[in-house]
Amino acid sequence: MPLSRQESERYSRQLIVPGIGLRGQAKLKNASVLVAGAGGLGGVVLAYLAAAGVGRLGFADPGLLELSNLNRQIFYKTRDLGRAKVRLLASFLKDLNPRVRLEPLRLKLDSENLAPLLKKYGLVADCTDNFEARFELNKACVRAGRTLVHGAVYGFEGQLAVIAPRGGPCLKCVFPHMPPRLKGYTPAPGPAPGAIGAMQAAEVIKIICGLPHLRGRLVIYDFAHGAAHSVRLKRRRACGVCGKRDEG
Amino acid sequence: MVKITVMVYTTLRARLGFSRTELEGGTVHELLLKLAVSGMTDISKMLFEDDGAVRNHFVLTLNSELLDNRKTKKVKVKAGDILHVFPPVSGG
Ligand SMILES: [Zn+2]
Repeated sequence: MPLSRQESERYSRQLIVPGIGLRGQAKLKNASVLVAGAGGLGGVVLAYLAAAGVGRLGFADPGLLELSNLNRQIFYKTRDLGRAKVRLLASFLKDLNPRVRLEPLRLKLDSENLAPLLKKYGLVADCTDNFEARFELNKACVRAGRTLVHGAVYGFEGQLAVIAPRGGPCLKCVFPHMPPRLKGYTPAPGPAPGAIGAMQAAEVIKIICGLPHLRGRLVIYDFAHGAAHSVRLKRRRACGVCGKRDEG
Repeated sequence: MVKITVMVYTTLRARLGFSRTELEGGTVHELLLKLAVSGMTDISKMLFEDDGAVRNHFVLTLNSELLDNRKTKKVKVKAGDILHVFPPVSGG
């Protein structure tokens, strides 16, 4: 399908990226992505995916905008405190790129609603803010055969991974056990989720366009010291999530 | 006994007061025992179970390869190795 003149101009700077081009742009237009969480990571991922022309974007978050979100969730406005975040984000994304189909979901993702939802999307970005949701999403993606682009932050540190569904390794292979619950809030300087969210969006775009990506690797970004550490993920044979399927 | 670099993250960093250190030891387990008492606060309880195994939510990598937390006594290190110790993070 050829691009309209408007589209050719809108996407002109990415059409000249080796590996994207017209073919990649068409793949982006035909793609659908579910973004779990509309916080510091989710908003950034969505902004870049909408801007890049991903055809259909679903995004789920039950929350209302709070004042303490605004040090990092820069796509919201102070005057909108107390309003549903997915609605606010939908309006922001529509202004950014009216051609993208937006599916805001004001709900908390769980094992029940994830299974039917994942059928409707080709790819998932994990932008949630708690371990329970992250491991639920990992399990659902393994079951549904969806690639999961994982991003998470703690202070000036971030983790990024691409979890491919068939054959693992999955998130639970890397992190088989949850750490003890921390007291208080997770430290979150704005640029850390901004950077990791942008990297998640880059992985999603590369996966859709068929470019080399982080599959099977976890990268730890240390913004405090300008360092990165890349780990090759290994499948745990005893993994309760991705292990049993193959053996059974 | 050889000297290797140890990098720690998140809560370990906060408790130890550093993100990177050089320690001497023969196995990963020896290095972790030293790590636990090498910073601002003693993190032995945070890092090890009562039976001495490394707590299972921490991920260990030696030269970017994942280690089995229960086998750290068997993993010998050589000069210049880099050991990373990190937990999962969940902020978003
Ligand atoms: Zn697994």
